[in-house]
Amino acid sequence: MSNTPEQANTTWAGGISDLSGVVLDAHFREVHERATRGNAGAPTWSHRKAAELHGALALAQVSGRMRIMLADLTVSLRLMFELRCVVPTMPEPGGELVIEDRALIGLTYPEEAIRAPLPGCAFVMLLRPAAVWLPNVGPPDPSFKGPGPGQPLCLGASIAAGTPVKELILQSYGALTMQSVQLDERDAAGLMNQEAAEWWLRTETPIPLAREGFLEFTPDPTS
Amino acid sequence: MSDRFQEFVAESSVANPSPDWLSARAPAYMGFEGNAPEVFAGKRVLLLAAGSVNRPVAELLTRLGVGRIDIVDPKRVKRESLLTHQGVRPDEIDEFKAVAAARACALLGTGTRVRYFVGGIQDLSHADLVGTDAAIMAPDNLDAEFSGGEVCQHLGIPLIHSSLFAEGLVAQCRVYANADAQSPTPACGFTAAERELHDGQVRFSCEGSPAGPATPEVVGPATMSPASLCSIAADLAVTQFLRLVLGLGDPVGDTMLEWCGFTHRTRISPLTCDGSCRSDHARFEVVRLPRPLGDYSLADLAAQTGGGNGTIDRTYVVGDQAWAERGICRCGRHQSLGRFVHPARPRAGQCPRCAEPIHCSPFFLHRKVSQQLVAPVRSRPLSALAESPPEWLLARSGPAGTLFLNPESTP
Repeated sequence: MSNTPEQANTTWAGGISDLSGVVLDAHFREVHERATRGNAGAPTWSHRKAAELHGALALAQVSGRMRIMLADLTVSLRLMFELRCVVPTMPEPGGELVIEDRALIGLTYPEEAIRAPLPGCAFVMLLRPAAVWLPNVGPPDPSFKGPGPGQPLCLGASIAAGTPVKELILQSYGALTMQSVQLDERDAAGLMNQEAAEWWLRTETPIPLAREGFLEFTPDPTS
Repeated sequence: MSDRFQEFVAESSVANPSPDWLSARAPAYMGFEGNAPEVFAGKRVLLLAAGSVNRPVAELLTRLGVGRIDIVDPKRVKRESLLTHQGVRPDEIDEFKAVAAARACALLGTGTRVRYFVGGIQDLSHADLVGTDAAIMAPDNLDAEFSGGEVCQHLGIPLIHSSLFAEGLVAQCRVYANADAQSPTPACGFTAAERELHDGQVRFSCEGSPAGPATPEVVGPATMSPASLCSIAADLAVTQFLRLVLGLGDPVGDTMLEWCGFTHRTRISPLTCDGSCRSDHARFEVVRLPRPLGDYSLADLAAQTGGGNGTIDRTYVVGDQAWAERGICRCGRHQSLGRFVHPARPRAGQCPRCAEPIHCSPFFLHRKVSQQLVAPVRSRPLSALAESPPEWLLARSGPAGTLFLNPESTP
């Protein structure tokens, strides 16, 4: 993990609450610069996008958990990244739960997100794996045997205006590992798959699926 | 364009209102030389909410002989509404407020055209509100204040905002002139506590909405006020409307009028914006095209706004359609798409391998699309790119924008 608090040229004190002091390494700096070249919009919005992207890339750098595939600041802030974490799936309807070890996520942060509250399902699409099986993930399209157009992930009834992108990524991690979970089928807030909610209420599979924090990640050297 | 408003036509006992009759009680306002009833008859007024303040506003405007009022409200009349809404009757309980208010106004028989929309201002597009001369709002939630304020500024619609502080017997009336993009909006005056409250008032249900938009529910506090104070707020709003449209006395634009029942004093304060608010300060020019929008290409429309290929931050919103960048087929084949589709059913074209419809991933659906993304097709007519004939198109570059509409007669 690069850019530890002990490095001389960083003001990052450690932890994930404030990543503004993280100095991006060459790889992430290039990602940031390439995205910034196409950064458009009013000055307030374009500055905010650049700052939010820095936060997301800093999180990727210090955690080692994220591999950035796409960073786009043209209109909205759009990130496509692979997130290393447990992801429960149900490849066969009514079949066995299969735990995957990563997800391909498409995150969209529109300008409206800094002005007004938005629904919790407005930001994150799970592009891979197929058939993610969680109460707050939209049900998979049964007509697709493999990955389809994606499943929306709901982060709650309402996301307050100005919620940082870093926070959305951390909430996504919490949702996928079931460290934060909505199982009450009577409460529509954050609930997108009633069948999955009922299944998780009945199952003996222990929750959460993983207890490690976002920064507590050791990459498998063989993967 | 399909009209979201429904017109309320009622059989009034007062038939055939004549200009003489409508002028029978019109005073000769000091400093105004023209024919006031004629001025009112030419005005179209948008009413955002039809509650304890705006229900009497609707009737007062109708009695003035305003040409058209458009009433927007998502709620129903409750039994408690009888306590605060002047004019509401017991037989209106459970009816939509917009419908009840429209009926009451239509029955007055002044010739005012009355239209209504059951829903919030957030459910309407800018195109739905083109042609409005003034708006009067008195909603019970900050999100409606926020959204109403933005859309009125974008279209240059003067906005009168009424509110109360009943515990102090205070009625407030703010008039936003919306002369330009730097004009103040209601959100400019939000305190930190109100911004937090704004976040807390809006709830969304994701239930049963796998890929479509979640339904917002805006929860605002009930109006706790005597009906008399609500009426005073309504009267102040209509008085400010009179002054605004007739130009009576000192300009009322960008001022707040406050009246206090404890002291019987009024105070007038300026409204300003310090630039740090959440509002999207922008101004859109409205252009009604001579031919259907589908006949034009994005390049044609860009030329009309004075921009060519060089404006890096130009974006487009095409009616209720979204730009489908990429999709996937059931056989697993990924495809580049490049057309506008309806987000609720994002399908575009057929897979060349299996002939099944191509599904567009919501991550690759762009409601607001950049100039760069559509560059390869900017010379093609929109009819060739869109799933259905576009009803309107908004081209934006920073705080400026152009709203293109079909010719008047286009359905």
